[in-house]
Amino acid sequence: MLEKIKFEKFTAFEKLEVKFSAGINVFVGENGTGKTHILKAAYAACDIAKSKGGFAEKINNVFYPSGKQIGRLIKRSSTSSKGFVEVTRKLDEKSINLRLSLSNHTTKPENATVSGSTKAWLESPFEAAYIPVKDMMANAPGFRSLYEEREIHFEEIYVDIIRKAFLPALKGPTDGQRKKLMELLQDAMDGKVIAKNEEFFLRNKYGELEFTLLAEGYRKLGLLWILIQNGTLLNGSALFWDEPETNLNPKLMKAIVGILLELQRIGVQIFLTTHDYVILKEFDLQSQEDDKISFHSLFRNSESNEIERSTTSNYLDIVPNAIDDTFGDLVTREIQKSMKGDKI
Amino acid sequence: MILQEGTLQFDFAGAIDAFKFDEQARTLATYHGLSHCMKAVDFVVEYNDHYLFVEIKNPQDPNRYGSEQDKSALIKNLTTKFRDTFLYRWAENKLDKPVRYQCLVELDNAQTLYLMNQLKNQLPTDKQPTRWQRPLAHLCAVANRATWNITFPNIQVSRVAGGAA
Repeated sequence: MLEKIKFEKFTAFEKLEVKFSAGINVFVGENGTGKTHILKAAYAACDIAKSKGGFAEKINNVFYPSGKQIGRLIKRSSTSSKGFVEVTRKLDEKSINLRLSLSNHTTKPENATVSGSTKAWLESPFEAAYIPVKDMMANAPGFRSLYEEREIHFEEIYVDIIRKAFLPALKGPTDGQRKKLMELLQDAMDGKVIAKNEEFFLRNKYGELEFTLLAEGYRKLGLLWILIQNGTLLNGSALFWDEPETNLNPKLMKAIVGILLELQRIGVQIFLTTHDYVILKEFDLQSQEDDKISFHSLFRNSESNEIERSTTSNYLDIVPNAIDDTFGDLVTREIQKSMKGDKI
Repeated sequence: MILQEGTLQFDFAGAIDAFKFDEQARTLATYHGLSHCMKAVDFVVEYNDHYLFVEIKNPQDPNRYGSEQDKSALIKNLTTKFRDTFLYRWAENKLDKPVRYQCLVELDNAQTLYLMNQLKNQLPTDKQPTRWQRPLAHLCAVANRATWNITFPNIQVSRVAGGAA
């Protein structure tokens, strides 16, 4: 389980620390406040525990700075500067750190410094999956081999999720909790997912529909179904989901949020970003007393212009709430429009 | 002129008169007296050029109106309160100026926006039949306190201690 993340002069952040909920972490904030950066950095740290790769290289591949010059991940400044990202994880009741330090002059990942409990970190692997905003399921055929053989301009999260999706189903019968979750998803997307020769299909009573012909929103549900079926999302794993609302009709959010809450209840730690009111409200309506949810609001300090964070477990206490503020602006404008033509 | 409902205090700056419309005290001149058969908004305020009806909903539980059913009941309640107040004022011969209807509902902005659109549709305000010569209400607004204070700077609402009306 991830406990917290700290940044100093890294990408958009001058100095930022986020303490994570063991359950669900929802990141809200206007564009450019670094929500996705937090997810990517935390995911990179999770991924290497399993893949045994280097933290610096993973960060570089996940963020993909221009020319893959890792030093470009240091926050822009007029002078030379150093920065770091540090992820803290709870392991057997102990907190262990993994820190990547670098300067804006560091060109290659091997010249960056990785410190902390690296050995313990790599000795205890766990599963993590990152669902990016753009769907990759329909483009899966051949993408893995293309990525391995050629230098293509894609952040590694895209190939990572395809790799996870191609993992075969877990051996043995599906346990009750997973079965329930898969059934919820089957109801929402009206079918099951099958893979044939690197191509995904949705199978239901009408036949098999290839993912390229399937609505993009359903492809995401299909991906979630696969990750549950093949055991990627089990107790102790982590799910990162960047803007689940993209291409999904708001009506499906009720099912999605219900599934995310269930995943949390079976021990999956979840990190998601959103610009969507319906997602926030569904969490507010569907969560129960024992559910662990933190809403992290990222915003720019009006004086320093630096990114700051406020965290609450209560939906109504999210301040600032860029999503609700937008609705507030609509209310004001609608009333003002009504009053404009009024001769009173 | 200042009026209070629960823990919310309204400052109707520039008003000629402002009173609690559903007054229950028999000794007061503004005693309503028909609460057994007519619904009533919380406040009626008189300005130079219009009357303002104000209704306040300040639920303790933020998910009080979470379900579709509860929201429909709330819209019906807000609609009935306006219409009954309108009739009462007609009988008083106090409809000589246009009427505005403003509801302060302490829910998030997305929900108040939904309520405002539904209420406009039910009152109705926006789509009046061609036979009508004048609107029932010149304005129909639903907002929470924060948005109310931005939208209506001349009617500031603040939260005060205690709960006396």
